[in-house]
Amino acid sequence: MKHRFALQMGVAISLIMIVNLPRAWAALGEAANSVETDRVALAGQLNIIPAQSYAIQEITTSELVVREYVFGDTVFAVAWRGRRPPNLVSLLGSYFQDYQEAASASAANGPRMRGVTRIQGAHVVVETGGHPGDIRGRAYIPALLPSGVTKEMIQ
Amino acid sequence: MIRRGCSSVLFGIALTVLLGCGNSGSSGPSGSSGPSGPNVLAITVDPSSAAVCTSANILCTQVTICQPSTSNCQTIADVLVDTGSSGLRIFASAVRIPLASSNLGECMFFGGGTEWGPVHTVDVVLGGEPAVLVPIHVVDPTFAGQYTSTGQPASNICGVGVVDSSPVQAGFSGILGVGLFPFDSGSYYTCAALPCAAVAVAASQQVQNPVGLLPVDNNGVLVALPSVPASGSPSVTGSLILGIGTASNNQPSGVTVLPTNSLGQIVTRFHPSPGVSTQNVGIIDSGSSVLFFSDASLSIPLCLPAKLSFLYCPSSPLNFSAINTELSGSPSSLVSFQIIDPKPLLNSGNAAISNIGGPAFSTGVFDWGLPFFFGRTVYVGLSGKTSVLGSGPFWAY
Repeated sequence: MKHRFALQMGVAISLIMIVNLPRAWAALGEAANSVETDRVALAGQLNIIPAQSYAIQEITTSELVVREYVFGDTVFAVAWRGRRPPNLVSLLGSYFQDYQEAASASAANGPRMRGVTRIQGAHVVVETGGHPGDIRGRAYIPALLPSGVTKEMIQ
Repeated sequence: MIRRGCSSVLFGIALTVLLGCGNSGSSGPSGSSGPSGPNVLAITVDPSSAAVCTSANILCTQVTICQPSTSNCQTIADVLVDTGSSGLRIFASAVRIPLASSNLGECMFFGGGTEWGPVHTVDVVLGGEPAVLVPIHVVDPTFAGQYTSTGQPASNICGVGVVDSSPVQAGFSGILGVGLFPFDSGSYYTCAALPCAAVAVAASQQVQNPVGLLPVDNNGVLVALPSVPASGSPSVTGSLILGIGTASNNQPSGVTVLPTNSLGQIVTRFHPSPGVSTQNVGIIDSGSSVLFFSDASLSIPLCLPAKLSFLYCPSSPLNFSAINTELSGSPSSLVSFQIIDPKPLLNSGNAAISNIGGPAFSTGVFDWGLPFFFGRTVYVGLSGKTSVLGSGPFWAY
């Protein structure tokens, strides 16, 4: 409980700090119109790419590219690449805590081999790779993946 | 410990002066001890004798840091050797020498973790080379109240779920980035007042690759490791040699030189099955423990339990090949490799494993991790420097 309170405090503080955002620009698991909030928060350009049964809304900034995968009216996955990752507190929204708890449990598991990370939360999967200067990653909600869509398509 | 580190540093400097600033570092008498000279650092995968570098395929060395312009020095063991990044990072909890105060914080993002902490300028001594004054990253999750001592978010300036928190948790006491670039591509923040704020930092204040600052052996490095049989090995020992063609022990011959793009990438054409070829960006990264690659046509099972789910566990050995090329397509080099279920090897005490892989999690990136280095001498040509192999950035092997 103490840990959770600290986390909530931390999230609250970071939301105030992150590039002066008026609100969280959360997207994963939220409605498609949250992507526009992200675009404004990132001061990026939005490009919509039609794909099979879903749409990719791509936000490009000077530091990174964020892709949000929309099926129906829901963002079921996000992917990023660039000099640095996006702020995952904001991008994962209500799923951040699930990710954070699983990531902390994984880190507490002790030393491991190095290169990529795969964090499986109760509801969300976050995978990161790439290398300094070209960091890549994706987060998706397995339960929301449309039929016929594999995680390899999220990139 | 400090005293011993000092004497070895002083000896190293004296030796360097005798030999002329590392310029003529000889390979010395050949023998089981391998190459020698002021430009040589011993590198090992050897969990049985390491205090911290105890995971498989974690390649480590030792580095000395000193209070600037003093002989107050400390040798840090268990430092990961990383051709995939640039600059020296040491966990604050491993640093014993006094550091001046610093308000400059840095988030450094790797594929396999995130480091947060202040930037401090210290003297860094690599092998028996002269000390170089250089900003390093002191990894400290609690700096400016951003993370807890176990790396969990407080103010969370890096915006991630967790940061590396200690040598025991991370599996190394620091990272020696001897990659292609003079600077580190980190994100810098001033924490003079809270909250910390993003800041543009002059190049001279950024964390830098200490190799580029050496007086002579400054145009890159080579990493030489013995081959490892398909059945694995409990340990391996090799050499990180500073400079390319600057001394008798770092003269390349018969290598393929692959210039990279501005991100340090080559082209890797991967053959997931005969007659099929997919184009990836390729990197050569001793800090990655395995070969990381993906292809939509592959469905190799991942290992269990979850802790190993970043590794491939095929039911029988898989043989692949790939072609590394320069961006223009020439020259090129065919690399064959095998992927096996690594669990039996891991469970039987093998720490150096040559035939181990996992998904890249970033389709389109082929990460030639440590297995690629076994049985090879890999040259890292530093950007902005020239050598007998041409101008960096390039990989050569």
